[in-house]
Amino acid sequence: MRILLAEDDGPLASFVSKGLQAENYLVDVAAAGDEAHAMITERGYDLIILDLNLPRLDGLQVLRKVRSDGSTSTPILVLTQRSEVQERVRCLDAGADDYLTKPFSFAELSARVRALLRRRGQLTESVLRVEDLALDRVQRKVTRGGRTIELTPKEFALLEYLMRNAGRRVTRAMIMEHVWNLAFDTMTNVVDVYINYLRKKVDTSPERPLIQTIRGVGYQVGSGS
Amino acid sequence: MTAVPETDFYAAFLHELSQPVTAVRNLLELTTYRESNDWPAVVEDALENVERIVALIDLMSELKRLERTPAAPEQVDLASLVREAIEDLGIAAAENGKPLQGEGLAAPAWVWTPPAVLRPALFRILDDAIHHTPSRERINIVLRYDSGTARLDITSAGMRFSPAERETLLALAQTGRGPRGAVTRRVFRVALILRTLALHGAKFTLSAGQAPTATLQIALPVK
Repeated sequence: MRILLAEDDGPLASFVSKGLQAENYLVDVAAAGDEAHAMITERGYDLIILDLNLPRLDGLQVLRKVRSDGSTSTPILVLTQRSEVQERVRCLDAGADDYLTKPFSFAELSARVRALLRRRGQLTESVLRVEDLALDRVQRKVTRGGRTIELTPKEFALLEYLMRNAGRRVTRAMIMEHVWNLAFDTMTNVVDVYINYLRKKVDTSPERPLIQTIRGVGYQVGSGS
Repeated sequence: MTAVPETDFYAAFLHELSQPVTAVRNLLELTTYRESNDWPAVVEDALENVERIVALIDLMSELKRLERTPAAPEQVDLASLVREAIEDLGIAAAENGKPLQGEGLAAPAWVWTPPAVLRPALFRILDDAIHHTPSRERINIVLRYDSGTARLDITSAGMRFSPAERETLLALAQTGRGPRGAVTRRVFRVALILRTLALHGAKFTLSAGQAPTATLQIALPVK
């Protein structure tokens, strides 16, 4: 799950970013409105957390721009210091999905992030399942047919991304972006190497392989039907 | 940091773009009179070229954005970033018989650069070095952090360029302007990556060391 945090207050951005990273989200930070707008239009995010008081282009302008030009339908959570009803109404009317007033508790922010992702259908449950393979996001545990599988953090993140997209083809570039947080297609075969490692641990039985290679495209876990 | 006017990258970009677009057009034309069972292979080739186009557009978009609005610098631990890059890319490099080896990475090395620029640039440069290093050759990454300077030396056979390429690459990376004439795809790509760092104060040298290796040195600003 990739989140853009648009926040110009350095210590706050650092605190929120670290907290979200500890919950296994990938977080990019933009410190100005024009920077945030450019990042939203150029990269794919699962959620945007947008402060209203941003330099150069304020949060409300960013919100209006991305909603009016159709740059994204990604859920946007607005952070505001203004608690007036009128201000909240303006934000929601401009296309925000939710708002949170500063000072806020991280627990509440985290809960709202989960709720927005759930509403979008991206985060339905803490345990992901494909056939007899189960991945528990909270316990950081993977089992297949009841057998526990030990994975490195990177292998875990890769399997989680594949299972979130079960039945769908994902390209190497998509994997690099969402698992490595790098928006480029590598020239080295780093994704293929990790997939091979994962296969050796997950698909130990050759009769029922779950990780499929889609020639010329990338990979898929589970059938598309 | 002031905004930079249009640079030579745009001309080189158009030249670079025309090649994969031509390839895709030809491939698609071919499909009109090929047997249908040839299609998967044709589509695979077309997709590869489209990926090249997308990669070029991504890099150029990033440069354009940084030229317009340079990102805000922060204190970033370069040693930790390099360790992360070695960990992430090192496995693939080792599998291909090109081990990545780091030195001077134990202690933090604080540089004054936007992390959103430094991290992808570092990964891209190492990715490029691994790709162009022959099998059974090592890639050495040495970090030197003293007297208020931070220098990263990337030494490998994959860093060798001809004298003319070297001149073009450094000129394009440092100033956005290069000598007249054609730019090879790799020089264009590496210069483009380094340019994103140069816009935030990085300096480069590219020395032909002891054959067959060469060293790219990246000096990053320290607060």
